Amino acid sequence: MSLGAHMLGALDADEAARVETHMETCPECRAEFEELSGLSALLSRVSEEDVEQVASPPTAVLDRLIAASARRRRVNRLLMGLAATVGAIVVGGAAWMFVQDGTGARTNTAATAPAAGLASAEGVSPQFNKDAPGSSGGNDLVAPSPGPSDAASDPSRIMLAPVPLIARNNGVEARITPVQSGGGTALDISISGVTRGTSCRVIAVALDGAESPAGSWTIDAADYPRGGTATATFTAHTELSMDRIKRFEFRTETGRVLVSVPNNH
Amino acid sequence: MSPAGTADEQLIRSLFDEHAGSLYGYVLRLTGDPGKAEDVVQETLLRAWKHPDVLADRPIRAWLFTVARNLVVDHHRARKSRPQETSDEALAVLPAEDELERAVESWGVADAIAALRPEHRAVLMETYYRGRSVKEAAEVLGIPPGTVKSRTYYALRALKLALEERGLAP
Repeated sequence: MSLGAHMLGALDADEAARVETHMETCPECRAEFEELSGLSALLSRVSEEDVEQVASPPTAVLDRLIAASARRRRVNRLLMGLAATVGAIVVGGAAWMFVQDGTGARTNTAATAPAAGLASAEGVSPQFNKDAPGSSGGNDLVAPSPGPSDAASDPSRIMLAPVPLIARNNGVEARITPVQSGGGTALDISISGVTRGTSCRVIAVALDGAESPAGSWTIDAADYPRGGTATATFTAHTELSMDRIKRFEFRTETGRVLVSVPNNH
Repeated sequence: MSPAGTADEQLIRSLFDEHAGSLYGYVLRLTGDPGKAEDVVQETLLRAWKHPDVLADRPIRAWLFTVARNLVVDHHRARKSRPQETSDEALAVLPAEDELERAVESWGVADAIAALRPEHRAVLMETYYRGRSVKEAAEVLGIPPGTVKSRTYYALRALKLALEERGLAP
């Protein structure tokens, strides 16, 4: 019973000596002591502060995470509404034009906003985001969108949707849905056409040219669970409010601009 | 709230409960900035939540720490407005791969200790981390010295078990 305290050096000298003497003739205690001794190297690797830190995680983060997940669901629902609308437009033949225009060149907001539902035109399939827009997948432009028809038929709800900013450049397509969050802006981002292993970061460029890093990530295998080109989605945040942002830039580690997304809001 | 929302929230809560404390401790060490550390923890857990496939088939701890580490490094680089001038400084804060592994282990140990029953944690704190003798610990904790000894023993046994469960057995 004293073996633990002995291993930690907490026994007084007399008792420690008695334990040592006992262990000379007791193989069971000796073995037990050696087993416990293996712990001391691990114990020495953490401090009391470390343990306290672990025991008191930052609860503000939990609140923000839950809020972010709720926001994401809302955005998805609204985008699904958009997707359903676009389905109707595509059937009418109008949408095809700007999708063609958008390839290779930069297209943005006003005209392209409804194209959120047309990601499938580029072979994008949102793996992680089961209720994301365009989840019909494939290249079938006229595939009926799975959006709830009530959202689609109610224009006022679509007007309320946070309109995504979209831009394309050299096969890379970035979509940013900004949502005001505190004094800054939360950004739901999806990007496709980026080579696996590329480290990217997104930067908010203010009207005065100042740059504010909003987040970064590496496109890794987890972003392509089925191989090939898919859409990586993530959430970023900038302390700038949308009215102070001129554009967003997606850059590689070396500073090369992958795609620049103007803020037309 | 929809059933899906509830499931999301549950996943987020369990990710948070299991990993936020150690992840935060780790990132705080790297950045020294509590606000930034919170942001990095938030983004890291958000990614884990959005990539459920990650949770399924690899050691999530190592994945989370890697993502957090990369975020810290990227933030550091991004702070410099001209990327071509950053390489030296960025490298200075980039922890080596084996350091990352070590950090995952160390924070796993901290987790295991934090998850002990409170009375077990308390005796370990006194006898080991605060270097108190059995007698001193008994006074501080208001329990008999014999109880300090037995609790220390059971605390270490419980810790060993917890470390084994985490794949951190000595």
